[in-house]
Amino acid sequence: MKKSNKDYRLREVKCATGFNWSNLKAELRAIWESNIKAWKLDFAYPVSFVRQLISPVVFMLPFLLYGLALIGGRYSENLAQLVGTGDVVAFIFTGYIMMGFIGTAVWAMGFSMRREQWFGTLEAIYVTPASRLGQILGMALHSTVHQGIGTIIQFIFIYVTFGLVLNIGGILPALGIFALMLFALYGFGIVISALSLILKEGWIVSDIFYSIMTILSPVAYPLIVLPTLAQQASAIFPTAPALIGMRSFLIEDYIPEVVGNVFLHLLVLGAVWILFGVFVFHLADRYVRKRGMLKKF
Amino acid sequence: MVNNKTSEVFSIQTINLTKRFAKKKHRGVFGFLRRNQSKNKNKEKNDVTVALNKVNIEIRPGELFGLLGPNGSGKTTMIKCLSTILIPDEGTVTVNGFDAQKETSMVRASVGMVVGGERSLYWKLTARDNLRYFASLYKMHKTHAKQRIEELLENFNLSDRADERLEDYSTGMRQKVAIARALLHDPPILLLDEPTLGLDPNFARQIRRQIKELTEKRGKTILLTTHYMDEADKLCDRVAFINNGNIVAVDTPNRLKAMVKETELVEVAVYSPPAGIEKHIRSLLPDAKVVKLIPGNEDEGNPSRIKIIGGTAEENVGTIIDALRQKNVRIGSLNVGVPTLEDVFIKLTGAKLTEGRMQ
Repeated sequence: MKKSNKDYRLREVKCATGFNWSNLKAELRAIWESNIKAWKLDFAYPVSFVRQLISPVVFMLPFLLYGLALIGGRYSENLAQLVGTGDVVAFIFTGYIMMGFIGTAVWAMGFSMRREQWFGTLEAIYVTPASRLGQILGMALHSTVHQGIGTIIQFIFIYVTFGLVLNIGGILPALGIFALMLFALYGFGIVISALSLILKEGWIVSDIFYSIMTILSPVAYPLIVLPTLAQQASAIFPTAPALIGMRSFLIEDYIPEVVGNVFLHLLVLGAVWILFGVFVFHLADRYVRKRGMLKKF
Repeated sequence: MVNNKTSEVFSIQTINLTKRFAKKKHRGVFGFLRRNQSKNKNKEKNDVTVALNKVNIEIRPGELFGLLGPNGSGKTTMIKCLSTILIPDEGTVTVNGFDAQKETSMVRASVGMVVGGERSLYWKLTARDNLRYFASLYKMHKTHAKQRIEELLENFNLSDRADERLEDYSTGMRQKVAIARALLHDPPILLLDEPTLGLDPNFARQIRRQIKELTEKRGKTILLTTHYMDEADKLCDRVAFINNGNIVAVDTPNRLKAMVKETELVEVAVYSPPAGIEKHIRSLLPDAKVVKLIPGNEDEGNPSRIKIIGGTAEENVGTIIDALRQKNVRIGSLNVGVPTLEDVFIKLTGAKLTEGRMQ
């Protein structure tokens, strides 16, 4: 039955809105469902999915074999002098874990909006009341879990093949550092996502930042071998301090001052990158809506 | 939005809505060098397309309002401004009483939108998964969403195939899923951008019936953009003609058609009309207000059409047949007919609804 003009009540909506608990729950559910959707889309391409699971092992092997061949064994005196541990396998393994999660930020998160643009679904997502950041965070959640599974596979492979030795007691505090780093890395991922919305050549944006972060993070070499300027620049990304802290727990001698600094550093970086990410994304969002660029490739 | 003068309530209201886009010219690989060499930078700055030009529209609750215009006339831009996908350059947009620039979340919660058709869904997911995902983006409670999805799948006759991926669906079925998605959160306002575009007649008919039911039985306010005149004529309570970003006329289909009712109308279907035939016929019919050649696609069995509005049909018919015979043009059919919305549009703008942007 048609409502008469008088009966009509404006401003009546059935979606959760405003600053309240039910809206927050709804936003969290949207993030969770974005993650579930990403898994379903992954499973739709099974070969690609399997490849992504084994690729962390495949990509890490050249680093390891190269290191072992150069040193002529597993233990490097030179590395021990520089960072406190000479176990090349453990050093590279812990570094390579980080490389995978850099990929989470710059590829999975950075590419999340562009991916929707390719599917043709971005505008449909934009007309929903859910936060756009939820899309990116959903993708971050999916990619973090995905990468986590890859890391476990990596760990099993290295453990079985090379007899990896880690300080078991250091795993929990290392995970704490890792969680702090993820916050900052997510902020960074949001920035990349905003840039790829505007610049359109999303993969180039991701590729450039992936290369920069990989160089500035001590993945396969100690930070000290980089030029002073590069060492200083590495402080703006969370991966370098996180790696130093995690290695200190997992494979090196634990030094409270170093770890304390790392925690503080990551806390500051986390806050700065998240705030900066949200700010840049807000600007990018307005920019693309002003210029009608949402549908453009 | 409440209009103070009349105390009338509007579901959608735009005041002087203006949207411009910069015209981008492809300058080739080294175009950025030439751009810097450009002598007249001011001219380049002013090189803009006015997609919407001070558009004022008021749509009442429960109304099915059609926005009719050719491709590139500004229909989609209008829908995008209303749905907050685009930020207008000037003017105000109020949707369900919310300011589209300041209360974007509330506007988004108030509208369901069908834009981009079948491609706006995940083809690798099932219909149920698509709806489940978008229900979460519409911030629906899980249990409520589940019920609503089943209800919509049932309403759109999709229940049997709800667990198949959309890549296995026909275009019409995917469009049904797109409409079901727009209805998930039971919004008071629906924005439908060319909902029947590219559908076969059967599916188009089903979609039209469902659109009509949404206003009549559910009291939804619907803004429908289309360039199918019949669709607008049959469905809409009121229609606005838009051309080159300007609203040319707004009224009920019957009142609009009454604008050309007094004048007589002749339509001739012709095959392979020579160049200049339109001009030639116009010169022979000084009393005709409009003489328009609408190119067809003969390969697909659609001949070109010559429309003549105004003058006396009886005189016009004889003159046209003579003129076409002289030029050896084969005539497919000839109708002296009832005016359609397209005829009104042609009269008002000189353009036809199926052709691109008029310069």
